[in-house]
Amino acid sequence: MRSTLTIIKANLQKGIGQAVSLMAFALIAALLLSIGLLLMLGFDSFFDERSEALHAPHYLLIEEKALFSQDQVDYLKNHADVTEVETEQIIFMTAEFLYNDGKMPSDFIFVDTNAKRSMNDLTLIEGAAPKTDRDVCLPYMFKAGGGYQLGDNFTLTVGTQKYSFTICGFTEEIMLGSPNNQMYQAYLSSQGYKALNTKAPEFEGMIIRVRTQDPTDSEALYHDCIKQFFFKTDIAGADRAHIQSLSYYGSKVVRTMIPGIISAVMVVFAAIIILVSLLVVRFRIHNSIEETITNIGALKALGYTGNKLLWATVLQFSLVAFVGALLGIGVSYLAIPFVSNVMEMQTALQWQGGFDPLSSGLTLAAILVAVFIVTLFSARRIRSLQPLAALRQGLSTHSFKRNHLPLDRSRGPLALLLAVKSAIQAKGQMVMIVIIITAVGFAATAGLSIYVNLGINPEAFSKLIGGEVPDATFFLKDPADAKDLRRYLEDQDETRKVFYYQDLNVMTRDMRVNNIVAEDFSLFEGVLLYEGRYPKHDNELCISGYLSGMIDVHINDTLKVTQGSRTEEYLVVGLIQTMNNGGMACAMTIPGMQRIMPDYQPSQLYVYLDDGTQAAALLKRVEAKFTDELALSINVSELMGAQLGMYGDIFFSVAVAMLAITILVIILVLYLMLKTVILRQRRTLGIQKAVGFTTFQLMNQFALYYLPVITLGVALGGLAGILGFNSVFIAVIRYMGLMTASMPAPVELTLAMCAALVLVAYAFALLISGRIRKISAYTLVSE
Amino acid sequence: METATSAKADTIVDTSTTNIISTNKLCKTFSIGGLQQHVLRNLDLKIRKGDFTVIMGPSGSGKSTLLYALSGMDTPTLGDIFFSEEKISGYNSDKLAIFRRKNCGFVFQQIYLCDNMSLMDNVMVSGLLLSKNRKQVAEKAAALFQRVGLSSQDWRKFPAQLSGGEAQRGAIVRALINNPSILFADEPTGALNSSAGEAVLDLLTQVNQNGQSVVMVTHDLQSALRGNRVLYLKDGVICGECLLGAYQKTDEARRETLRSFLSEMGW
Repeated sequence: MRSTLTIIKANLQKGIGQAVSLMAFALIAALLLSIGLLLMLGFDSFFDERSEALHAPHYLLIEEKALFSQDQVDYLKNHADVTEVETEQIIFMTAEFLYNDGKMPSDFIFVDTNAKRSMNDLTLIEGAAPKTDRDVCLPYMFKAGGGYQLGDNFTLTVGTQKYSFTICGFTEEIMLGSPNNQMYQAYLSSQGYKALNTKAPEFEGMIIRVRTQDPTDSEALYHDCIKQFFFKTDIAGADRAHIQSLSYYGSKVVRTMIPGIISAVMVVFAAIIILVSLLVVRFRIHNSIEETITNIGALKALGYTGNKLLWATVLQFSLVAFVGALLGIGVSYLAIPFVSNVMEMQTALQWQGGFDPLSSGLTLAAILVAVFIVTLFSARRIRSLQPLAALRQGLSTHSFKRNHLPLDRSRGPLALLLAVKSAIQAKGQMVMIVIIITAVGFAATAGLSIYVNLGINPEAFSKLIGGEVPDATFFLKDPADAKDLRRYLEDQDETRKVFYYQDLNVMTRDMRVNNIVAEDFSLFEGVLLYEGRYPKHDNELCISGYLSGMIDVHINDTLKVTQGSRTEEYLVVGLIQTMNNGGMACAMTIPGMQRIMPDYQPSQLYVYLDDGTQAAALLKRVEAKFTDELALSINVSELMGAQLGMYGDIFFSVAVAMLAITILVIILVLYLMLKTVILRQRRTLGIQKAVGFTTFQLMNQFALYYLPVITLGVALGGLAGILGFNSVFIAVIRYMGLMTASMPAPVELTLAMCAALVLVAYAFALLISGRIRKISAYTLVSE
Repeated sequence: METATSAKADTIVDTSTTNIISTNKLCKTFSIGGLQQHVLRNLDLKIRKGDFTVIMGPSGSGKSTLLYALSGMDTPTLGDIFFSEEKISGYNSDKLAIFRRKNCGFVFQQIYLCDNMSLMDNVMVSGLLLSKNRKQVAEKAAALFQRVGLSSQDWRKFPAQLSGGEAQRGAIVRALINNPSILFADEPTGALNSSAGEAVLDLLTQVNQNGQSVVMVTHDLQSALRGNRVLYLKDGVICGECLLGAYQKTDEARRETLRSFLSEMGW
């Protein structure tokens, strides 16, 4: 053992620079894998732990006071899964407010801080509890994603009425603190609550908080309650303004979505880095054998067994990987606050991610096992190497059977010819570099696609996620006023088109389905339909692909749909796609809706404006003219901007990190390869310098030597990214209910990125080749 | 036969008309473990154009250091080196590289052919540094190969597939491909058997007889006899010079002159 350690020590001392760079690979791989696994395994449980610590509810029913009944409470108390029920009087309004520099409408629940509650009571992350009647505590999301600070003014607008507060604290909220749920809970002082209640008595409401035996039961309870409570109110748009429900499960899914995506990206990226590291390890071992072949021969001649030398190599590389992986895991814990900061914009959860032995153990094991196996296989040659052959520098194993590109017969610049000759002679190494660069090129293209599609230009993608996206939408208090508003909107200069559009909940096969009701589907601009046609007659409907698969109902089949007490049969004429309501959706015409809800009259209008015009001016005019009639008006473009801006920032961070790592990996690969090759060829370089080559000629020759393979690798990676990433994305997103969604790589930008990567690689190859400067013709003869 | 000896001289003053290389107070000092080792000390030396100059001396006397300093492979610590009228001692490494490719040819004891190139490619690599005319370089290389007794089959081989003598002859072709005005040889026969060594020396003699200057470092009396001027270096200074006149294969008097010179030098 002592002799093995001596060999390892000597090898490490000799190649300290290369050991450090290999360690850097292991460090990066471990860092990414550890963060990915910490997020994957840790964030999920963190959400559950915080929920338990705050004694958060698992189900919420929020409604206007008129809809509340003791029967609801009794039903919940008697439900088999329920363990706790609590009710509280609230102020419940749908209001507009500024968020991330854009107007956003959401449901707001105001509670009296001093009221007694056991579930998710006021938990301050920052600031203090409200004291004056102007003070308000808002969910932490308003700071993390909304741009608010303590002491800022916060104004809610409902119609023409404005309610202003001063932010005195930010709270931790499990269910009512994320923009994904579009519902926020705010805390007022007792006098502040009373004052608001007096000022706006019409918004009096009730909240029923429920805890179940197991949080995972919450989804079943949610569906039970939908059936039980929602369809007893035959009010158009009832579930929008008057009654809302939330399940813990649903909240968790949306609030852990970004960490889920980031962790998946990290793990995939880590896998690529590990692959690269393994290829580099393999390359290093092959070179190490060639460099130390005479030492191996001498040691074998002295009586060292092949196994002993093999294990020394395996241990040497495993040790380097072990140290690198440990450092990477350590750094990952330091990096968690930064990752958490990025995610906070969407999660509003301050995740610190303490030590997790499972993710750290898995990271260490994955890297060590991979390096161990690859080292073992790559170093097998040591065992079979005969001492005499090794002492003769392995000449019996060398073969120069063919002289590619003989210089007396080949045309082209000398530097290029020499570079290509060397590249052909090192085919194996070149293939390996191509694979490595292809992998990182793919990852970089994927990062770019994510950034461009979700970060820079999210509109097209948002149309897929959000379904039909107009420029503005108006909700009326009374559907009877809809015709007047429509006429007014049509008369406006900037208006391109106006039509009735509304989302309503209906039931089919005991499931709640989001029903899109529109007067004319041919006016749609989104990409809702992907198979068949939109409904034209009152007995037709479209269903989502997700629902179709779930209930095994297809085009030309019939489906019974229920609203309240009425059930009618419809013919399925098309398949639509949406992510809303978990992909559970259908679409029908207004007469179609009236078959199950005879008094239904549309109360929402979608407005599309001429290109280049802003919706703000129109909204202002409409709000001024229809002050009393309007329930809500939304500048959809602005809202999308505010919501998507948040995702843009997150995906920008992810893409920048991916690109930075890509460049770092390319540099590391080049450094390792070039340093090794320069070391191996220093004799040849010395000879070339002796016969009159200048340092720059040789540096250029080396950089050119790698340029074709880097170009090929980047091209293949870019191509794989352009063609392959979108396919992977489409496959994943189909499961989420979007059948035609795509994440196309921006071809021009990808080409520009590939060109930039090649140039960066060439520049770095030239820079690293600067080591040739140190090799002199004289050292050749003096060594 | 012209034979003259001069012993214990720090300065070799030469009265001939053209010098290809001259040095002025040439010093080379190495620092080893903090200790200064003066390998060449204030050497004033002139190498005449067309001469076959041999440098001899005991191990560690600075022979190779002097050869590589004169050829621009290494830079002196102090002093000047002139190539014809051109001062090369102040050149940076790239200028020296360009100087070498234009003016110098090298033959080493360890041969130093690039292992991963055929013999022809080794020669072409050097030739194409100066000429863009591939065909002309290839033709010249073929002629030189023929002159040194290597067939086209040989020059297509890689160095590992050649004998030491064949490889060294190939290296001489590489050294001559750019028609250098001076050829530097550092123990060119050191790694060869006697017949291969003899063939290499014959080639160097031929080169010199064709008008090119040769500077050779050797330990071997037989090799040294090829020169017309022998310099003896000891502790970084030239202790003596022996002028032998033109080489003739069987010239016992010449041999004796050199032997007694070397004996006087304590060799």
